[in-house]
Amino acid sequence: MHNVDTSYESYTDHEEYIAANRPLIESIDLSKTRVVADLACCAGLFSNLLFARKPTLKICGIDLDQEQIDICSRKFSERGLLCPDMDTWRGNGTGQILLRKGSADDLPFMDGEIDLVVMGNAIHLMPDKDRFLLEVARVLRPGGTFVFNSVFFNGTFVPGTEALFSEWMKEAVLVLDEINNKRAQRGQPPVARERNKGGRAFAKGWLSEGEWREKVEKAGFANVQTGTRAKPITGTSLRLVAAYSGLASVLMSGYPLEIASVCLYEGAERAFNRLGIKEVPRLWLEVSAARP
Amino acid sequence: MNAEQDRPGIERKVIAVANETVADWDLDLPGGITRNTKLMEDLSFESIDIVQFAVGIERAFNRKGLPFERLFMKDGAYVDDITISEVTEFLCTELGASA
Repeated sequence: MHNVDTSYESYTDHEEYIAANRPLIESIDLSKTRVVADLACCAGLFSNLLFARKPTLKICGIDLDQEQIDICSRKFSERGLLCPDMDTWRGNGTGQILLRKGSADDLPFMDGEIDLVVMGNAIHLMPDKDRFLLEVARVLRPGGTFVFNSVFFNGTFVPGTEALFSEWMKEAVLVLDEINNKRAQRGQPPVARERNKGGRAFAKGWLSEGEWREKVEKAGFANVQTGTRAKPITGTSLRLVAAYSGLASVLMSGYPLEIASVCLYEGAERAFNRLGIKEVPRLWLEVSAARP
Repeated sequence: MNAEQDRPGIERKVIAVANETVADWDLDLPGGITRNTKLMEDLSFESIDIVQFAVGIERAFNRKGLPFERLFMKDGAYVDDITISEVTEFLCTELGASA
């Protein structure tokens, strides 16, 4: 059985993931942008790409997960870019990033304080999307921009590629069965599962591209641009994200995370091998909108 | 076509796999699992339950690689729920069973 890295960092630092996100960040007009909110900033990918384009930006990264904030803090601190507190950031945060643990639907900004709000691959997780969009609109200045992407939306699967994802999950269950068989040979009980830890199957709350457009417009945004971009998922990147404990807690809800991560990691490898493929495309939804 | 591979035979196997899946869940199911039972609404399936059920089906029919995505997704979106009858119909199509 593999020892797997269950952090999200190894996936978001992988060149494929960066390549999937870079075009969106490069498409943003930063000429009038000075103050940025990076919501659900995770390990800091968007902030990093933004700083690479415009080192004088003042960025505040927010994430619910303290582990992500710690990872992000370490990375930016090593480069001397970490701002210590909100007052310093507001006063003289140019070229720096302030990191805060918190919810993206209750932002620590004044009305109209932000020029650009970005959110990378997380908006599908927002429990109340309408409330969240209103909060983003509140903190943006008139003419400010909101940009987000997501690989979890209705339409993300390129027709004909869905089999990889269902085979991946079935292979993960077979790996779990093998683990249980070995435990049985040692006289141990099967891996225990606590039921009712995950949501109802298929109740993902994903929206389509058109539904996202409608929702963003309903929140009062103008010039809403939506589109999709196909990016490859290889065996390497699927294994990396498969091992992420946050995903394992959803896909194999109720099982111990370290075992679920191993099952999903090995299942990904087996699915690619069994189907005899090297990669499949998957569509990313990209949306930009302006506050009137 | 043997009796196990016609529609009633397939449905019996599907119900047997569903019963095996929920065996220790302590569900309140008056009348037990029938062709009209819904996997999510009636059996409270989570994502991993669906997958374990699918693997159980493949084992029961000795067929690996059944394209369950055709059952679970419609027009690029996941379906809301699935009945035992719909699973049976899917298998009849995939296994080439007679009605």
